[in-house]
Amino acid sequence: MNYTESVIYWFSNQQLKMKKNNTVKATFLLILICKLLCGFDALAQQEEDAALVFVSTNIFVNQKKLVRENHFEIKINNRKGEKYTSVNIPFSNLSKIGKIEAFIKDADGIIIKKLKKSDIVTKSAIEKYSFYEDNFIQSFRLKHNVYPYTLVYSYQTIEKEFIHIASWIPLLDTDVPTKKALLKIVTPVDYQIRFMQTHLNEPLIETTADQITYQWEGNYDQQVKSQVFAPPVFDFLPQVNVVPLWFEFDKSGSLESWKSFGSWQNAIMNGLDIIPDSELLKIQDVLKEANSRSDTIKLLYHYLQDNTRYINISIETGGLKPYPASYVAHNKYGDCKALTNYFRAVLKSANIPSYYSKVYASNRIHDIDHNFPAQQFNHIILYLPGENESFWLDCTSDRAFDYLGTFTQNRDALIIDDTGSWFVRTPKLANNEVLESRTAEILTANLPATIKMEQSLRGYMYELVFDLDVNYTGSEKKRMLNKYLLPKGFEISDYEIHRTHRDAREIFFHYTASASELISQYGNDIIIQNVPFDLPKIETPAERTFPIQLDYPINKTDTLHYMLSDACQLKNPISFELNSIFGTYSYTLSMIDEHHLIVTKKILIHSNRYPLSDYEAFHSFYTAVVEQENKNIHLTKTN
Amino acid sequence: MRLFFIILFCLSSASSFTQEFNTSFGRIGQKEVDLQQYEHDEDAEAVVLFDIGKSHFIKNEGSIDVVFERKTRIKILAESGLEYAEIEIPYYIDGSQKELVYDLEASTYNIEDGKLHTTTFDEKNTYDETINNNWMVKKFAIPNVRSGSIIEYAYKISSPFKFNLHDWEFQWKIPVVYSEYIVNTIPFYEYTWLLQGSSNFDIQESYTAKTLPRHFGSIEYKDIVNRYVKKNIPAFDNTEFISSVNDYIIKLDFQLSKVNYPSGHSIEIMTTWEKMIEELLKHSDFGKYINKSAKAASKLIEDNEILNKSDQEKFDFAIDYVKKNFSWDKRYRKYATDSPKKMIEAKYGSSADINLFTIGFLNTLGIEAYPLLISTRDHGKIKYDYPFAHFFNYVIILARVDDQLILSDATEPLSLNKRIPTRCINDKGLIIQEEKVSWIKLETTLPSSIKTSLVLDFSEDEVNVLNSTTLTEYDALNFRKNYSDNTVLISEKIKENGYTLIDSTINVTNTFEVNKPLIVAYQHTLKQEIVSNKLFVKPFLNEIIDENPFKQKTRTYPIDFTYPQKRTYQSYFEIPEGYELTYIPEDVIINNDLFGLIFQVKNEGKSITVFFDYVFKQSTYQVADYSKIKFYFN
Repeated sequence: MNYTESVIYWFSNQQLKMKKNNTVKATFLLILICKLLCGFDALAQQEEDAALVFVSTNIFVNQKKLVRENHFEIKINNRKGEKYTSVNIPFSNLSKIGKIEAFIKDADGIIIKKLKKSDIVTKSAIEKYSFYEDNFIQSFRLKHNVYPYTLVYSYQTIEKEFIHIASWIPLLDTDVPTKKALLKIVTPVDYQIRFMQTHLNEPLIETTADQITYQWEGNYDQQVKSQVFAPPVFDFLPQVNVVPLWFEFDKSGSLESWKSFGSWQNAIMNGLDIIPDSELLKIQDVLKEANSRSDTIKLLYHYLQDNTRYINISIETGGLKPYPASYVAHNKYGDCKALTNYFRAVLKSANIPSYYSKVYASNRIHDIDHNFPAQQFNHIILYLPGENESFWLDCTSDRAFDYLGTFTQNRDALIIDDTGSWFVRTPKLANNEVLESRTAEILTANLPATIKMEQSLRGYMYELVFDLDVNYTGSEKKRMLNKYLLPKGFEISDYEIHRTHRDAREIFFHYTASASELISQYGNDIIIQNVPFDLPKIETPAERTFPIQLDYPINKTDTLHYMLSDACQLKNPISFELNSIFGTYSYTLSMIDEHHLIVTKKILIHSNRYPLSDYEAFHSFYTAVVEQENKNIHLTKTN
Repeated sequence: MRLFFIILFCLSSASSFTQEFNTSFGRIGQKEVDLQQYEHDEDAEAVVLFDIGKSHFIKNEGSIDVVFERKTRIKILAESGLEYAEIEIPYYIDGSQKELVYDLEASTYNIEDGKLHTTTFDEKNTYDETINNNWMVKKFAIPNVRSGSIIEYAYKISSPFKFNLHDWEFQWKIPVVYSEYIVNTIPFYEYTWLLQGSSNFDIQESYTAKTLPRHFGSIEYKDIVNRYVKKNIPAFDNTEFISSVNDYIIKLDFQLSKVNYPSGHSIEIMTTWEKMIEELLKHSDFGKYINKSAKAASKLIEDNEILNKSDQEKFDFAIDYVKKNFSWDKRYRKYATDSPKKMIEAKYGSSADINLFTIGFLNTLGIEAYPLLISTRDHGKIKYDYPFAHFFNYVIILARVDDQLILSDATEPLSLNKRIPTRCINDKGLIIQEEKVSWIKLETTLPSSIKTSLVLDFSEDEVNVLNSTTLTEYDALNFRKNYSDNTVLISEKIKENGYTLIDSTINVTNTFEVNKPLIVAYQHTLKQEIVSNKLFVKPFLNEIIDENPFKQKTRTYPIDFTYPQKRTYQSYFEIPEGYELTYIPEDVIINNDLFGLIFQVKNEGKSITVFFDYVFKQSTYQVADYSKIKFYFN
């Protein structure tokens, strides 16, 4: 189990291949990929290549032991479905795995092949963002050559220490239907559990003299696929989550309330905040120049940023228990838990109280279910409330002081304290905090046209350019910038990236580029392609199935100044404006004189949530903007 | 005993100017501390100050082990260079025999309060990752590292596997100031070596160790010290459009060539291609596997009718049978993993399992077929002057059908039986047949083509388009692999171009009939702009790639397109009612050995046909042609 696994307990027993949300430092490439493939990783198939015909999980749990029996029957209908004949069974040092059995049935139900023990291979299973985890997989492949056939396999896991009983999503993949799924949990009569399910019915509960049986049944055929400006796909999948009311995981604890969960989290961190004397001396040295509380916090945060790095090493209960502050003080590295715990101790030594705070970090906001106290988080940040000023610090981040960013803004954080725990909403990115403004001078005297672009970027683009700037160098950096950050058809020649100071929540990315197709001339007619805002393609109302969720505002402005070598006259309409409940858009063309054309445009889309029924209206507003953005500018020569 | 040198490079006399840094482990000089930016590469995120390796032999309970020692020092110059402080050391295990990583040490040096501060690494913070049954990785993160830190680490690996002496890469993705590799050889094992990516060393010397003699049994000997040094090696620039990093990175490769037993007799491990072929033919996982496959395959033939058919039919029968019944597990292999019986049972196998089996199958049907040993594109080029088996990683099929030689790979069901997949197109392959050394070119000269034909119909502010695209050869294979007949995926691709697809108009022809060209047809609309009563027509809409993939001004490695490519675009439309033609661009024709291009507009009455065609006539272009290729792409 691991903090940084987004879907933490939900997916821990599944072999679902979905994109996971990483912690802030590890997300960069993922974002780029999403940006590139936006809407292109289509999942729906015309005919089903494979189906999960039957999946069942039987769980026997008591105070001391948790036994899970998993059984899968996967029907393979053709060669394309064959990828599901490769089976990976996850386990860790905290769970014992056994009784792995597998066989193949032909179309008539006759068993034609069985798995041999010697064909099972054990491998490490370490997430891309991690350096090391003591997670492993048992992997094997069993296939046949006459379709259809059914792969049946089962295995058992046993855990002694656990904080969740089931995090059950009965899916093979989001594009594979599940015909029938069963979850059965058997407990002693005096053993209490808590559960919640989504997109599934309430369980059947049977009580006998010595045990209680809970049973859920479901299926899946929607083939859910990610959509733009929508909640995460994960929120639309059938799932059951079950936790023990009382548990033993490092220390004993209870999931009766958020308060009790917080107390347990606090208890397992007890004594981990000791900082060695040598480190204390350095901290005192840093604080020589501090004059105020905010000064102190900022200086120490800079010290943290300059001296530590993010490395995730997760073993044993490492998913929930941080490495001690002394470990970070010596090694100067750690994951989000370790770095946050260390920094909390550093602040404490300067008499500044702060709180270890659990959040669900992701590019799309996934809401915490308040009615279900459990480990629903994947990231740790630090909260410093104050009478005049409060701060939120991401201890894994190299970005500006007190900047949370798109991954953790505007969501519930569970604040951990020895007197209990409570939720605080992290601050949300305001319109002016996500402003992306571009000013360009475009020279058209020689072809290809030359563009001198000056940009000041905040919000998501600040994060993206910052990460690119820090993580890449030389020709590779230039290539990445060109590929991901320049409008289509632009070829970069020079660039400059800078910030006014290290805590500025804004980055300047200036460049010069050429674009061969920007301007075309046909006799006396000159056609100029607009430089459109970078806006993702969205689904048509017919394709749309999810409600609208805009997690932060979209706020962009452009001033594009074209220098024309020939005297010209404008043929297009001069201005265009749109106003709707979703936002505003404006576009203006003006000729200063016959050689100077200026295009100014602005878009603001509010951060909000709307039901699916509003999608048609949203789509028509958004499409009108995109159409205007893609309109060419038509000039004619006057002489 | 000296090393058996295949080639001798001239010793470099003029060693280029070097920033001199201390090369002794654990001792940091002021120059290393002061270094802020590497003078030869100001973008470098880190620089390897020294990287020193040594391989030597030690006695271990009556047998001999080879020990590889390494010590490396790196200066971190930027945040992005921190990744070089995360160390991974792969080691090999084969049953009870295994390599052992030991004597691990690491330190970080930082300047704190003007003083050099050392942080040492605790060996218990190392982790072993299991990659598979044969490979493990020892991992550790060096502590207290930040931009400006100097890190150094050292380790030893002892190995019972003497076949491959540890290779040495002089070049990293960051610049290297000083790189040295010492190989101490003993009389019992002889190695050949090969330097790639460079023509000389800064220092190369061999001498007898100035130590007391060593003994093995009754034999007395001294180590021969072979020392190779290179200085100021630039960072390896991983450019796009090269076949493999393995081909270009500067490295020294060692291969066991001869074993001299203390009893006096010797075994030549590898001297010639002839010997290698002979051994492969005798090998249980190669030649003998083919023979066993032939027997096993004869039992699979249910209807003996096939034996009376033509060669071509027999060939297709065998290849089709294997493609239909066995799938490739994506492993690149030259030796079979298990018996043919096991493969038939499992229904899947590596490239060697499947292709060697198919060769047996073909032989059973009376078709002359041989294994063709190759190196895949990502594995690098073969050096024909050096008979090293490790140059190869894959095996394909060479068959003689109606007196024609055909290359085939049964791991790729969507490919034509007489074609090999692009991963295999890499220079030449070696035919494994008795008493003969011959090589066959894998390159294809046949261009793969994409022909897009558009019929445009203008109405109001929209254009209705009928698109029919025909793909052949590798272009068709790529489409079959990526999209198959999946209209959802295809429609996503169409929408990427900014088109509005008309529902259920996608029609894919010949998806699974791989002998025929693949045709994708669909209808879509596109907004059309009429400004001040003028209609500007982009005849090919958004079909043509408008970005030059070659962004660099110059290039140091050849460009490799894999196969020759031809693109044809044709657009037909009628001048809408009430419009007249006012502007037509001029025709263009380019034709030379490298490249051909035609752009033509035909106007007959109301109808207009625009034709555009270009072809990259070669699959690879030399560095000298780069600027021309870059220009054509514009």
